[in-house]
Amino acid sequence: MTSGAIMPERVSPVHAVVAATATRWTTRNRMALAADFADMARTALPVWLMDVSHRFRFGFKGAGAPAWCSAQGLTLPGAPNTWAQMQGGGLVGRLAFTEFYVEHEDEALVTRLTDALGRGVQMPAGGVYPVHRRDAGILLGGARAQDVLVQVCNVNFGAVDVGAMPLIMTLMVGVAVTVFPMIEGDQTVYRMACDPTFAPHLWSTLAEIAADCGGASLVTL
Amino acid sequence: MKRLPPQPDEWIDRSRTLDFRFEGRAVNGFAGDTLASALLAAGEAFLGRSFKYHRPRSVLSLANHDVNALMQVTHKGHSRPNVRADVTPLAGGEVVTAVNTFGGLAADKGRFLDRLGAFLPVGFYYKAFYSKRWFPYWERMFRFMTGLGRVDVAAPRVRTPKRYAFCDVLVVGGGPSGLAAALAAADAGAKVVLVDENQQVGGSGLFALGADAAQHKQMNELVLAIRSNRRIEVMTGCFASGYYTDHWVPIVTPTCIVKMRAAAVVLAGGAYEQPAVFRNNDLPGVMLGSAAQRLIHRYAVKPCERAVVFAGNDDAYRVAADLAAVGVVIAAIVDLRPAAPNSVPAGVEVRRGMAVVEALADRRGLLRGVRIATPAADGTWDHAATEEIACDGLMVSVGFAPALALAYQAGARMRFDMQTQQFVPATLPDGLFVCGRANGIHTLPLKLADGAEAGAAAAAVAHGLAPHPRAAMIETAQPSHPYPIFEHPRGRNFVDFDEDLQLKDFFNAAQEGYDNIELLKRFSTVGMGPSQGKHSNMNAIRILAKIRGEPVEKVGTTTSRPMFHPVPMAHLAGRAFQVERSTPLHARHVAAGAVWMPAGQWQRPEYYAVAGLRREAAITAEVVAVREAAGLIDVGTLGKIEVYGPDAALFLERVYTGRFANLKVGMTRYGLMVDESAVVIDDGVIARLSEEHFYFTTTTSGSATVYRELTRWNTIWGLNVGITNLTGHLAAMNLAGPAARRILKTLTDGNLSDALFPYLGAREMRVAGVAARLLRVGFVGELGYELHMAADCAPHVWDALTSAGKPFGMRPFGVEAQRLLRLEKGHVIIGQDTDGLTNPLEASMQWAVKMDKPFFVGQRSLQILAKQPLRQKLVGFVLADDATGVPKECHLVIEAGAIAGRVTSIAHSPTLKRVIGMALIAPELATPGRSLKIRIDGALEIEAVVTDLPFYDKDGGRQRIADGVDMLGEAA
Repeated sequence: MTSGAIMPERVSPVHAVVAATATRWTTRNRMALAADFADMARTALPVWLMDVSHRFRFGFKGAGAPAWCSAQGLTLPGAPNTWAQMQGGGLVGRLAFTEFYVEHEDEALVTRLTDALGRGVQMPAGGVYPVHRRDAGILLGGARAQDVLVQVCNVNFGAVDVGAMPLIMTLMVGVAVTVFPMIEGDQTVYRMACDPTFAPHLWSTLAEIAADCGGASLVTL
Repeated sequence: MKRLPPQPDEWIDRSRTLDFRFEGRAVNGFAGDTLASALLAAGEAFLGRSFKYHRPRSVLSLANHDVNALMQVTHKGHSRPNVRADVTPLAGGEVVTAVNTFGGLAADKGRFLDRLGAFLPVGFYYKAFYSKRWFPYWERMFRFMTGLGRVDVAAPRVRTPKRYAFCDVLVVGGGPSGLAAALAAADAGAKVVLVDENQQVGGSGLFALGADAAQHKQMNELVLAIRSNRRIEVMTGCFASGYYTDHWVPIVTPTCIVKMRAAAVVLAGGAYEQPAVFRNNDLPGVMLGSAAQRLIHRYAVKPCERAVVFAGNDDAYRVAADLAAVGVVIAAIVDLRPAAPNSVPAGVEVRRGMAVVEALADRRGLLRGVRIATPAADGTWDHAATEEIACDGLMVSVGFAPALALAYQAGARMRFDMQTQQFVPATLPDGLFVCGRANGIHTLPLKLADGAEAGAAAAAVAHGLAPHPRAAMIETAQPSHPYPIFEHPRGRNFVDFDEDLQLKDFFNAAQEGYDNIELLKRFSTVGMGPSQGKHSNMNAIRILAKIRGEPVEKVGTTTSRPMFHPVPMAHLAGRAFQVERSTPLHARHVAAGAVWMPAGQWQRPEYYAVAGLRREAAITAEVVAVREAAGLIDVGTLGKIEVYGPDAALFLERVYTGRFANLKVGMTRYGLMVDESAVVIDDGVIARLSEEHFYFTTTTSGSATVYRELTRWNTIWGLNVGITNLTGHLAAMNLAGPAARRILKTLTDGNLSDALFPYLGAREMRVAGVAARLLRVGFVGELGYELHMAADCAPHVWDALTSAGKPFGMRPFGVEAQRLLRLEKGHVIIGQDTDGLTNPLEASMQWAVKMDKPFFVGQRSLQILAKQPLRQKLVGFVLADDATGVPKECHLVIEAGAIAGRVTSIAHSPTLKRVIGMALIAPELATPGRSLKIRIDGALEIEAVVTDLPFYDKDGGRQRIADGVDMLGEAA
């Protein structure tokens, strides 16, 4: 897919589901996001969900991918199934050995990477090829976040060593999800990415369970 | 029975009286009572009627090991069937009736069935249905007579979401050995979950006391230690319902299922006390010794005034001591064993070497006494040499069967231990440990030691260490009599209380040839009732062993399967997770009035509703719009895959039947995929975007499978390619119709001229400002452009096209219109016009196969098939002008009275104004002009005529429309 020019308005994969109950909106990266709960409400809610689909996403894979990652100045996650912080709030995830996932707020940065890769390059170790991504992004947090997770997933997130920055590729309610557990402030939050066509189902289910746990699903940054 | 003064550690709260109704009478109990204990304390003699003979019943085990007390409970306006009164806590306000009665418990009209026993032998229902004449009568009768409880269809839906939980060591069973195991595991640093089905932990340690104050103190200290240990989570009122791979154990709680994943498991579920088999062993007043002890210590209920204790082990003497301690007169202990233990309560007569052979009823049907005799080893006795002992309570303590169901499910192997007369584990899978009575250890000090060893070993495994070998525990007690089963000429000596199975039923079944434990189970139904053999399986094995003259171990056991106790259906359902996918344009379709249809996991617009138009008319309108103006369809469900790399072309040559190495950059080609047996599995459009970059589509249902297959093949071949699945990340829409180019021109600066963007071309350009891939393809047979773009920008493009297309009469069209349009064009739908056996030759798709390639998947099979006559052939047909009916898909083609094919697609074509279709038929019928007979509903046969394909636009001119020429007669 060619790039370079500014993209027009974007629609979140969960927009229609969220719009059923949202009363306030904000716009980030040309995408409308529900804003019924301000960021500060996060610390007060037992569990909360936030749509973070506005970030720009990109992937690349191949035998030469680790070398290409470093060559672009990105922090190379050392071990498979771990992630690393990028400057400016983004992250690089290493999916198994030779596939990488990038998400960032800065469209220009992501565009630079996609332009640099084009239709693929050959590195000494092998080829590197682009993976176009438009994942839905969901952030889950709160003291009762685990109560939501144990209802949808068989991974023991309570035993995860968040400091080791692992990423977990798993299934939640039948949807393939990549989860990045991380510390934000004094909370452990779970940043999740999934195929956008499954996102309405995933979001609806998580929101229903979060509501049962006394939480809210329209929190914004 | 009556309520006793307060007992130490009683479970009832005497400060909270709870009222309820039973069989129309007002009753009360205390918080902490179960339904059964409250009823017994209130003096209710009968709690239920048996399944087959409707005999009056009362408590047997009081432990959910039998269903003598099965109730219909109405509470807060809604009714639940088959509530187990023995173990269900009293809530207050319930309206309770016994199930399986006709006209109430006392006046049950079914009670006369007890006199018809001779006509209801074992397995009689298998024989009842032999007669066709009598079958309807039996069916009506059984439907009326059987079935327990009533379902309340108005019951509110209660959400019971399942959840996962995790621990290092799961301990199942909170009796002495389980408590010891939990403490030992926690002391070793493990996170422990302790599960017990009772409302409080302690198990037999706190009811089988035998008036032993030291045991009582020791057990209470153990319970206190459990409660104060932060590493132990206790789940009471919960049970483990099964055992699955890798220590996955579903724990059933009152409100939901907890899916527990443990690193190691300790099974400490104890043992089920077993009844003795003698005439009238089911009379109200006859109960297991442990039931009497539970009544006394947990619920402060005096089981009777004057008791006989039927003993086959030393536990019976503890029962006697507990009874005596609350003022029950012990008329006698009847001990099967010739030598009694030292611990005989003072003043109690012990009749050694004797057995209870009959329980005697008064005119109300309650126990009034027992008849005892001296039995021979084979269970026979001298009928002339008996004596009677008056009593109103008979407590039976003759043996135990271990609770090993979960161990069996985990793959444990058992052996029969002669000392304890029970099955015990011989080998256990890694990470599983058994202790206590289930492990053949019955005396308290040994149980505690056995539990501690098991817990420590489990903790070691949970921490990845090798466990120390467990010390061998030598049990010297003999807790189970080998054969507490006594014949009687008048029968009614029950083995399985759930199913009303008597001793003679087993002999009769074996006589009929059902002398294998599995056959005996299914013919007699032993162990198939609601308690699943907890009180009956061991005796059944003993009886069969005697019949066959073999040791018990040779007879074996039946297969243990989940669930351990019945589980509510709502618990199993949990929160329903019905996975659904939706394209990014879903909201646009909703706004446009889409009528939805499922397509696998997807929801797709079947058509768009129009006010005043019925379904067929709405679909026709969409078809006409595409043929005469333009239509826009969301095809985002198509699989979308990219292949990059130096070997990309070679890769595609191998996985598709066609040739792609010579595909020019900027062009597309149809691709057909077959499996190794040459069966058609998928198709799509392959676009070459650069020398080493291909982008292609798959069918909606095939995207995941095709991607997985491509990845699998390349794992084997190791070609230098990168394969990515973009199905969900890109949206796709198809703009088709004579006005398509003019509409698109308003939204793009890209060159759409026929010279630079010919039919089957592929271009990348911006549409409405969004970067898109355009494939000029013609599935529906008109000038068309398939646009692929980033999913989050698709709504913007759809809106722009909708707006631009309005002046031209463009409208959205759905799946049904698309199917009709492609049928007019004779285009095949894989999986509809092909089936699980169709190859390209049969589907008339030889044109898509290049056999001269060096290799492609399925080539060898196709070479073989090409030399053989065709089995079937896909053809087009039209209905004869005078056809009197319209066939449906899958209606059969009949030739000379035999099946000669079937219809795969059929529809009325608004374009051609007639019914057209495709069919797979015998090759000899496949000549154009040949008449076919299609059999429709009602056995009518409709005439059709084979015709060439396509039906519409045979030369394809409408798809290849050039610049300046327009089917609408206007400049394009």
